[in-house]
Amino acid sequence: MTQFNVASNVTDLRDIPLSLVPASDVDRILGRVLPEAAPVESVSVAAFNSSI
Amino acid sequence: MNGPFTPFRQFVVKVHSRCDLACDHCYVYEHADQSWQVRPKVISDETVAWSAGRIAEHVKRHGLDRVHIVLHGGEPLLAGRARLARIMAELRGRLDALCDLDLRVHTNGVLLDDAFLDVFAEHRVLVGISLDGDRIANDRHRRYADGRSSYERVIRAVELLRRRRDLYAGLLCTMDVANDPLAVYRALCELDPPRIDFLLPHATWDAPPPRPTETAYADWLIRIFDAWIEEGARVPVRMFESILRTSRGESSLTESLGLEPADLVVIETDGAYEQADSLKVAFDGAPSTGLNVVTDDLDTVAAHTGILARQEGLGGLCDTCRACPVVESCGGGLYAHRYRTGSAFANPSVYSADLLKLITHVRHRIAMPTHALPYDTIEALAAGYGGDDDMQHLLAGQRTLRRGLLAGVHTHHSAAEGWDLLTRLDAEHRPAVDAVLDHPYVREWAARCLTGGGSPGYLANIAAAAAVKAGVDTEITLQDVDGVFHLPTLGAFEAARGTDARLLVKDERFTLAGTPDAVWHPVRKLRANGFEVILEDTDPHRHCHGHQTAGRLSEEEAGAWQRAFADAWSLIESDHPHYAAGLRGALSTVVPLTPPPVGGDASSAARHAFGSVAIALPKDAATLALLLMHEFQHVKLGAVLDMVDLYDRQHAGLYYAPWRPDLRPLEGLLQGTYAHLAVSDFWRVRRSTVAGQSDVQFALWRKHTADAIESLDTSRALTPLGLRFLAGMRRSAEPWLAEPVPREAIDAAAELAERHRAASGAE
Repeated sequence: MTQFNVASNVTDLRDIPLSLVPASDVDRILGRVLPEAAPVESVSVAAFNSSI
Repeated sequence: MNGPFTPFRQFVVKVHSRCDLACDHCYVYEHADQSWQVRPKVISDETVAWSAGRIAEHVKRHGLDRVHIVLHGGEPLLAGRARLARIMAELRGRLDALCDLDLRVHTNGVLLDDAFLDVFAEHRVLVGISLDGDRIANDRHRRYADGRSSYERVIRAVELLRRRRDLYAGLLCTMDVANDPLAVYRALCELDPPRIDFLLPHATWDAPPPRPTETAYADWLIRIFDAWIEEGARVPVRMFESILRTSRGESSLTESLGLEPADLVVIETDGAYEQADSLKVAFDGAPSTGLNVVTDDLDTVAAHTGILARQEGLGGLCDTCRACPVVESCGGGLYAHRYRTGSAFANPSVYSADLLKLITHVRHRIAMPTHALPYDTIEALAAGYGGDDDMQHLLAGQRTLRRGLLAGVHTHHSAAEGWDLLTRLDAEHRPAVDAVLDHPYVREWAARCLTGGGSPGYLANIAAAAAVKAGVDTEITLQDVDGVFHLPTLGAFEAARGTDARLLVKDERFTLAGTPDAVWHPVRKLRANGFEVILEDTDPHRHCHGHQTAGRLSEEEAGAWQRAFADAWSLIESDHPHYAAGLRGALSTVVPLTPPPVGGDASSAARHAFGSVAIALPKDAATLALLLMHEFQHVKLGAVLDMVDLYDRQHAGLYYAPWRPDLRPLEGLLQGTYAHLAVSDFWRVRRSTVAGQSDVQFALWRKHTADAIESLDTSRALTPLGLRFLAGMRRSAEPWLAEPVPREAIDAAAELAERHRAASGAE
């Protein structure tokens, strides 16, 4: 029998290394379970990366 | 001039046009553009002043809050410390008051010493170093003109930076597929860089890169990517991060990937504005704009056709690229790499096949599905029950939430040491990390931190507990929370005044370094018929239940808990097997509460503490069974609500709840109704053992539960899934209304209900 699912909008992070958890997913989780928390801001970095 | 164009936010200032190395892959000297031969060797103070002024003017005009400046070359350190200090002072002097200035220098490192670093520290300049990997890789290209190796001097420079980590920006590695990719990667990682950049060697269709196989560069990078992922991505690699980010619609971190408009301009030593440095590989004069800091402002440069051409995103790409499935990540690759005589830049990158293969591999490897709850699970839970399989779905979602919240906490400075250890363990000992993160109060702690109330440094305690479970020797400073050094799932040291917080973990044993005789309170377990839960009386984050939690229990008190739990569990298994399966699957922790001073029972579940219930030890095992079942209903429903929406979260209505003195918001009513579904069921079954009062309780709670279900139904605030869930609850509760109950019990229940409604003031 076909098993139907109710999809959530929470990305499955169980197999994602902690250091790679995307900021967008952190924000989405905060929005679901901790809406009073301020969104986590992404750190911007310089894109230029030519070697010397 | 007012655009339309993208203002510049990145400025590459060439402070010296010559180099003390003679790398044979250098794009400045060894490729098509030879303009370096006619430039001044070093930038003049006057040109620096003009440059700083132009950038400041641009920042003011466009209201830029942050700009990035990279001091570059040639080799910038050839400009000397004094001149570099003047350059940095000029830039900071003109810009610090206007915006956040991210100032960096990229160097080959051979001249770097502490005197240079002192200058960089004074002017807050981060240092990036070019290094192509291990000695073999580095010396393949990065040599002096006389053929000598640069390796030793560069490594010495990196070691200096490692000792002054606040100045260390990262390492830049130009790839050569002749090198062993893992040897290169490991050599770079050993230098502990804050970030690694892997750079494709500059090439065009006219001058393609050495290519032993069709996708040699992708294959080389894929070997590193796989190792990077398997090792937990501990060192940020900008190329990989950019592919991951662009694959989910976020911005790229590098100009060589993604569709963001270019916002970079180069200022040469003679003050000439140039387009991207990499264009030097296309043809002689390719980067030129014909504009100069003395005569032209940056808006004029921004309107240059060559600059605008790199700001067109998808529209600026050739047909082949626009039709490509990975174009959002690739972005056509680095602009310079598209060049071919005749069609100029209207081509895919000369690395197109590599980028397609690499990006596809990354996306496949990191396919990120979302959590889902099977309808069968929804139905089982809605009925009030849920078995082990259903609990596994809830546990999976909770594990994700904890990992996500932890990732949110780690940006706090005081969490750095714990995060470093935890990410290392996460890569190599995931089961141990999961076992600690599954502890209910880890999420409670994270939630406190993210709302400004917790101690982010406690992440060190979490990491330490994982290290103990993994059997990894380590040393880390613990955070004192509420007078204890707590190790989640293990126990707590008493933190007397002056206690040294350094924890030593060796051979799966652990001690406080300076206080080997510190008092240790291990967690205790409650066990019954092969089922065990933690009796949690050490975790400082357990005080979130709205009731007074008990302190550390005496052995006698713990013994009383064990006896009551064994009896309660026996009753649940025999009389309420539909609830026992879920409890066995996901109840991990029981927190003892202080008995209410006015008598009666106290129990609670906390939304962030999935898997835990808090209870004041009641007078008998049957009541403990009831409280376990009641509170675990809240635990289950909370986990469902964490994943899917059962009601409109904007709904502001308040409702009468027959178990509360106050009006409740919709979620409160839903939670209470779901809990009392189990309460009704408990008394329904209990009647066969203990009649009388059980009949009254059953009559009371089945009516209350049924009424609350109707209140929820008429709220018009449930989602379609919420209505389906409610229908499941009704299917369980409705038949109970028809079960025979003695008349006197019904009358007594009705009187109790009326008394509560009158006391609450509800109509």
